[in-house]
Amino acid sequence: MLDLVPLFIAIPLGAAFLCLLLKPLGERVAAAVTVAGVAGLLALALGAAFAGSEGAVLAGGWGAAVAGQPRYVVGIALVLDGLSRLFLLVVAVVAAAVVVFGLRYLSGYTGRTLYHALLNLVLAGMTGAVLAGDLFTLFVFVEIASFASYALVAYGTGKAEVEAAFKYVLLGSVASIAILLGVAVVYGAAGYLNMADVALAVRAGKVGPAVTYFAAAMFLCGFGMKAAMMPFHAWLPDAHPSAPAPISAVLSGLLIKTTGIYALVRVFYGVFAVDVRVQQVLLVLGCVSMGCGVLLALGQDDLKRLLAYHSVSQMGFVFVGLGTGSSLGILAALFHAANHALFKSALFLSSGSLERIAGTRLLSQMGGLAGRAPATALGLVGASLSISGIPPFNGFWSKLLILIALFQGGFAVAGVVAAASALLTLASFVKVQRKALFGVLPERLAQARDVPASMSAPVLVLSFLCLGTVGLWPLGLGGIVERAAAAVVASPGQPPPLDHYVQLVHGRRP
Amino acid sequence: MNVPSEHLFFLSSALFALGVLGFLVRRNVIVTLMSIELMLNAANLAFLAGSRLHSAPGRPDLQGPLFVIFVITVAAVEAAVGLALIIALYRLKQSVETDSASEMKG
Repeated sequence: MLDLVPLFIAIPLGAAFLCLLLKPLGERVAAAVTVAGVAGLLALALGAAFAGSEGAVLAGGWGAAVAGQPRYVVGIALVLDGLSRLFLLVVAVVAAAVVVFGLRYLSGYTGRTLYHALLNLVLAGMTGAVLAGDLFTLFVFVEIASFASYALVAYGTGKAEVEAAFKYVLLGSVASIAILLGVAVVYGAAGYLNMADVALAVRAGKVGPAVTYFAAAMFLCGFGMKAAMMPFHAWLPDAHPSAPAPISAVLSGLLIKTTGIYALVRVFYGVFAVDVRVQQVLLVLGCVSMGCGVLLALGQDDLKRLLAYHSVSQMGFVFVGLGTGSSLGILAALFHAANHALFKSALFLSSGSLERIAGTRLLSQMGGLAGRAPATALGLVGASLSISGIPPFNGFWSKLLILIALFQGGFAVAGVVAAASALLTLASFVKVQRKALFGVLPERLAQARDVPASMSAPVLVLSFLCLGTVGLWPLGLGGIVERAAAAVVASPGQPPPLDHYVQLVHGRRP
Repeated sequence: MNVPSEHLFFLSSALFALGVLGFLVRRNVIVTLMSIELMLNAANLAFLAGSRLHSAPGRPDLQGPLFVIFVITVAAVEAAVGLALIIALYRLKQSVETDSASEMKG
């Protein structure tokens, strides 16, 4: 299995270039290449997740170990551990649904070869970021994913799309530079960037608290902006709705999690072992994101913009979970991030279907579509119930765990804000259902027809997964999430996270 | 002449501050993009200073320069995407001021 780890990056990266090389053969070839690539990725991710395989590889390493200098080898360090496995699985599942949905959805667009190439590049950047074993590699893969996403936001080439993409480029670049500066400071202090070595240097006091705090602040700004944490969220409500629906699903469902949440968890808990002061910042900003995000979402009439604001709010839930610093809180946060990937991508895909059916994204111009488009309605209702936290859908369980972790940790105020935000989320989605699916069917839409099965099936599968999480939990999913949390925080019944990580990377105990 | 590595860090901070200032103050989008490049190069300089700090006579630290070469590549991609969007924006609005891109409310 370990020899296959580079394939997680090589498959989408190769597919991206293959799409462009085979452009003269037509757009169908690019679609076929993408479908094959994503199928391979899904098989690999399922295998890795359920077999629980882990280990480290140095791809393309050169240079030799110099006496007295620890591990002086330059290469791309890839580490597959519990945390990576969870995110790889989520990326592969959502990407598969998105690619299938996009096949029909994009039939009205031109330049579909470029779309497939860029989508594959985003996937390669995300899988690479999740597997990266040193801070600089993490930065490079985050950049690959970000650049491809800038171009995808502008895919529609209209005024709104280009303006949103331009804002996204500016803010995204500043975020990347903040990350790079943090990496540079860590390199200046430690002399190497391998995550296991840096973690050991931080524990041994070789990297002082001033450097750690400065780097943590830079990473918080940088990865926080990638994860749309308030007050760095301004680009998201423009950028995510402007992209075509499948891309919105990838951006909101996957990109903010892999380049934001995952990187933050890995760096803060895996590498730096941040203290309670940084955790309090996470808690406060998480509360602000949760509350303000959902309040802003309540007033939206544009369905995709409403969903984008809910992404900000739901990321707030993840941040407060991380801010508790307890093993339950981090487990709940990671579980919620995975759940959000499923239901938010289902919601964005349904918004694309509704836009196709009703010819508009404005909720005030829809109505009564449940009768005209039953399959789309079913998928949308399932995902909405899940994001609103209705049992037995997965959103309920992760929000419940976050609330328990908050109250157990003594963060009652954050707990109350989380509970209130969850209720407002429900109110907002009741509004969506009432305006879009039920009520009076406008005359204009009397002949509206449901989207073809190849578009409704991926949404239904994702919604079904949201419901089926309860059943899948004892069948292995619970173990995957638990080991993801155990990879960064000391958990009962699991080996100490840093010892385990260092052993993976260097093949020995520290 | 022997310049202490710390001075390179100070220079890097000064360059970075200039970049931030330009990013916040200037309204021309091309100058905004140039300010971003300045910030990237400040980070590059910090990498080189770190590399110098960790080098010993006869045993240079090659990681820093390697990182810098990668960052230069990344910056080139960034400039390509940014300039392409500026051209698209100019075609749509006939202007390269950031204020002209203010139709969306963020």
